[in-house]
Amino acid sequence: MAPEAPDVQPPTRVARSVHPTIAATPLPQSRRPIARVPVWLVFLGPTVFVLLAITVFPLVYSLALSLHSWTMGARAGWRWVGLQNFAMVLRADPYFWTSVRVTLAYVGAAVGLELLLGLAIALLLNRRADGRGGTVQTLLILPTMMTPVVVGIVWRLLYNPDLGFLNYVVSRLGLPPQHWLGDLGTALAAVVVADIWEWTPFMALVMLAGLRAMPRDPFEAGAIDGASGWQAFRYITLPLLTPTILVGVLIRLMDAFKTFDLVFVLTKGGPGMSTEVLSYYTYRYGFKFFHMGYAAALSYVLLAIVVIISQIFVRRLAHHEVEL
Amino acid sequence: MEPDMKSLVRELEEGRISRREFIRRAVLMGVALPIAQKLAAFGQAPVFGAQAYRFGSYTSKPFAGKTITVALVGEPRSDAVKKMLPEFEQKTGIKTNVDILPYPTLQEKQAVALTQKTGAYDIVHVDCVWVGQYAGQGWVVPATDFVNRSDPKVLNITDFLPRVLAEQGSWEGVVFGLPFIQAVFGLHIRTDIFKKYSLKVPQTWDELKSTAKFITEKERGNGVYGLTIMGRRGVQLQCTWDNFLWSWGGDWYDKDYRPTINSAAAVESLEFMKSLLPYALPGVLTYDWDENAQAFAQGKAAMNLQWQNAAPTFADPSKSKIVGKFDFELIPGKKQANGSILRTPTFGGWGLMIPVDAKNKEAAWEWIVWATSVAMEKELAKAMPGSRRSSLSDPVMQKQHVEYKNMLKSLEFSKGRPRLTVYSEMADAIEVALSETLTGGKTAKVALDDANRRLEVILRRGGYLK
Repeated sequence: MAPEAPDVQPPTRVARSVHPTIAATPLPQSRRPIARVPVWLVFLGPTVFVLLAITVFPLVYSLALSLHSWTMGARAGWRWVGLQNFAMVLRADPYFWTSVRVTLAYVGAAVGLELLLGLAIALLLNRRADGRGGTVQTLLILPTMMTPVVVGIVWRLLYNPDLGFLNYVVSRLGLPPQHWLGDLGTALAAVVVADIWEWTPFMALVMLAGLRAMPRDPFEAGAIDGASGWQAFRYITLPLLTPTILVGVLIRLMDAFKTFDLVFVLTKGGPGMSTEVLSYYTYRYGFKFFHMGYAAALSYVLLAIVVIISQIFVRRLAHHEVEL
Repeated sequence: MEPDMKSLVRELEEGRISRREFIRRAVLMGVALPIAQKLAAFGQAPVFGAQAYRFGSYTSKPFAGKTITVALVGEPRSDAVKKMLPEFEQKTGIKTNVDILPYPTLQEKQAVALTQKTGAYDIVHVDCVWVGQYAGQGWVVPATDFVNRSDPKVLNITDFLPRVLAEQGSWEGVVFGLPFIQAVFGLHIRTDIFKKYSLKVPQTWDELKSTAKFITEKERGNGVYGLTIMGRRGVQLQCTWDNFLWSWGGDWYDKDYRPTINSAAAVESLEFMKSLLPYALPGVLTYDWDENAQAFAQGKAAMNLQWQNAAPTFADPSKSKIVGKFDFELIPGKKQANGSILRTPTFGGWGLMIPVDAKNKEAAWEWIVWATSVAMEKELAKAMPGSRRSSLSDPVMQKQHVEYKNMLKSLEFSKGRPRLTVYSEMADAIEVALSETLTGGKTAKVALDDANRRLEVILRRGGYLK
């Protein structure tokens, strides 16, 4: 036992000699390492605060507003009316439904055509395997980078019945001048065209990214099996591209539902109600007639429509599996 | 201070002696000259002098050193008054910030500032159709007291056309502000074309139609049509139709606020307006104020239904091909059973008023009196007319601005749009119906029936219709 004695040293002693301060004395409360403070609060706090302030608060505020009757500037303040605003929007406001129809037609036509054109352009650009075509891509992105109001003004000049470029072309073709924005038949289409001009490049670039990220093997396998170009597109490209398409359409869809600037600059909702999209209709109730409660209810109905339609897409996206 | 000095100061404060006299006597009493001058300036401070001071007299500067903020709509007259601000500052010592804003921005900014009581503006610019909203809801202060305390020679309130002052400056018989910009509808004609075919100026709507038809048939080959109007959905279209509606005997609602926009008279007047379209420029349904003025200035139409405020565009060689070839005539009317013609030109304009929450109300009134004074009117009317008889009837002015003669005449029997708080909402419903009818989407009867139902909801919600 005796010879062993010198070797036996309590491990605490070793530790003490190496890290005397840590092991010896317990730390005072104030100098606890940061790990013991809830770190999540430090990192999430600011984000949550900003979200609360600029997203959640306005949402809750406008929800409360939509349940009240309040005309800004009137002597009476907020008056509780329950769901009366919503009942009025859905049942007693014939122009609301006109506006819904206009909005659906606008969104359907604009996003649908942007998808088709965007896909076509992306396929065309993707044929350049060497990755050239950067100039074309840069030029393409220009309209998307413009402010919608500027796009609106450019098109308003193009559509001008007397001095516009479009009617110049039409007259050179020997046709009578057209009143693009003043005719019930063409006004909505004219606004849609401006939207397509602005947003097709966005769609094309999203599709192009999807195409560039595709694996080559299925195409090689298809080629060996003797698939034609159309078959390769229909049975390989399209299924593989579906998630990209869904994302692109989803983003554009949500955006198109909120279109305001183009309509404001080009037609102010006219002629008649033919270009009166929902966001413009809501704007008029809020900032021309100052019926804030009613405008808030209209905004919530628009929000509900957008959420429902987006959810359909998000579900499709989540359950999407490629079967080749 | 010695007793003599005290009474001397009081005399100055009460305005019984002039500043110069004060300094003279003070120096005689043994006060050093610079000190006497300081004291004299002190005696002018508003605490002493403001009550006795008459606005617009400029005998002293009781509001010197104050700064006021004025909101004005983006029109040539606003720019003109901005250029003359140094003169105002020199006269009164008041500094002015002018905020010139386009119509929709002005409407929103003022409404927000006034309802939230931010005190952002000392003077607001009020469209005549907003008077009910601003004065009726207590956003602006009554001006009766200010008017009484103003120099009658400078203010000369009876010089304003009574109809304009009543519609644009007053609410329920009380003056709230003074008119600042004026406009009235009429018929702009091309004198050269009228002379070429020895045509008479149309006095009735039927004559307008036949004249427009005649000119269109003769001149279409040269790219000239009989008429141009503001046909795009919006307030200009509605103001144009009001000229028709009222002369047909129709109106927006009756004395109990029951909407009557689908009355037989209203439907007939709209159908008549639509029947003019074949003789109007093909693009008129896309025209707003600018496009319409441009089309007429480019010589594309022989007649133009528009406010008189388009005339300066036609007289400007840089914008117009018809300089010296146009005139401004009375709006056509509806022939009555007794042979007279009922003309009801739509009236529009802007007044200056002081918000309840303004920080410097007295300095603001001093500005209003200055900007609308007889002398300033003559200067500003070079840019854009107001509604003082003295300047509109001035022969020199009438020679420089051909439109002023008939503008003055028109204003005497002009008609204002409703000034209810729900005006813009009603106007919008009517504008949709007009646009739907003119573009052929609905018949006049169906469109106006729809509008009438909407007016009923709006008037009920606004608390007018019981």
